Amino acid sequence: MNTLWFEQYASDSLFNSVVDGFVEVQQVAASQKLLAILELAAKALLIEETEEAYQADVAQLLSTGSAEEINDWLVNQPLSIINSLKERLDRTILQVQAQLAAKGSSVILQST
Amino acid sequence: MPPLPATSLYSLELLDTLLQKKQAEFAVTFPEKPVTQQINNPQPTPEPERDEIFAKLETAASSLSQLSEKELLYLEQQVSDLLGFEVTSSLDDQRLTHTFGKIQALAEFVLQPHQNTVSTPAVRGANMQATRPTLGWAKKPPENGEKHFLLANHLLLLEDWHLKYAHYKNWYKWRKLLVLNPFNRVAVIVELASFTLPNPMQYQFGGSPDVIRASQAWSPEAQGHVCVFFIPEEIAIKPGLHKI
Repeated sequence: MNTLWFEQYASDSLFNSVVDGFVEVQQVAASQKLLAILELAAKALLIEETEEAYQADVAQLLSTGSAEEINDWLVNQPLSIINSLKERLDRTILQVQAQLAAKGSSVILQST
Repeated sequence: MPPLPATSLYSLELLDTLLQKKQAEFAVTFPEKPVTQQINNPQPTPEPERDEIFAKLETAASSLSQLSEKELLYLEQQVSDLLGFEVTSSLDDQRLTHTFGKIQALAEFVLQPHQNTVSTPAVRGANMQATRPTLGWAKKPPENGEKHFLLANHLLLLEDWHLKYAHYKNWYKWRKLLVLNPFNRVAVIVELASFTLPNPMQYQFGGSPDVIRASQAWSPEAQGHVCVFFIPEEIAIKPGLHKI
């Protein structure tokens, strides 16, 4: 299976802790949806960090470029951007988990 | 590995809703913008139509005429189709003093403080200017043997130059322009380097030796008459000869 370009920057343990909260039959679908959310978060950060004049070109690269092309571009970016990317992805996972957990607990509260 | 839960702790529908919400937010925050315009391969223009366009350009260039807005727009469109990328006589409401005119062969522009004929071997049979171009030094040190396609236009003749010269200097500096010699059917992409001409009453443009050579502007047919158009910033094209 091909690794997506942003996967290496997200924490595996955090990602798995969300996916493990779903029953086995739902886990593939859940991990796909979570990856889609992470991809949006990664794109948003990289576009925000780019100078306005080049934002359209970066958005184009992130939307249509292959994982190899994007990684080649990413390795030339400053370390601060890579660190921000890691932080943003981890924070996104935690936010999603918090929202899922909040909804789950309210359902439990209502059923009791 | 932790034991799998018998029932889901989390709701897949909620995750789906979160995804949709994020997608909507992303679409609003980053609406799709046009990317850098690439040069399209121009559709070959039929020969009689090409002849007609060049004849119009020849007439306009040799008579130094000021065409009406509508005629100029139509001509720009035809030239854009011919070249495969957009050209225009007015960009962001800014214009050159002339679109059609006579180009003077100027001495080589001095782009770096210590540039001389030894460090610029491309200058053959041309002199170097004594001072720097009025729009400033070059953006980057020129590479050895690199050609300089530079143009001058006497922007001091613009109506409101004296009011907005500081803004204009920034705006016009290194703008990409197209010099078209319709008589020999040669197009050269150049950059605007200077806003003064030594003889602005006789000539409307001035070109560095490389521009004069490449555009064949002083061929017996052209006699210095050329058309000059703006090239929008987003078009990725390097200075030099462009095949038409």
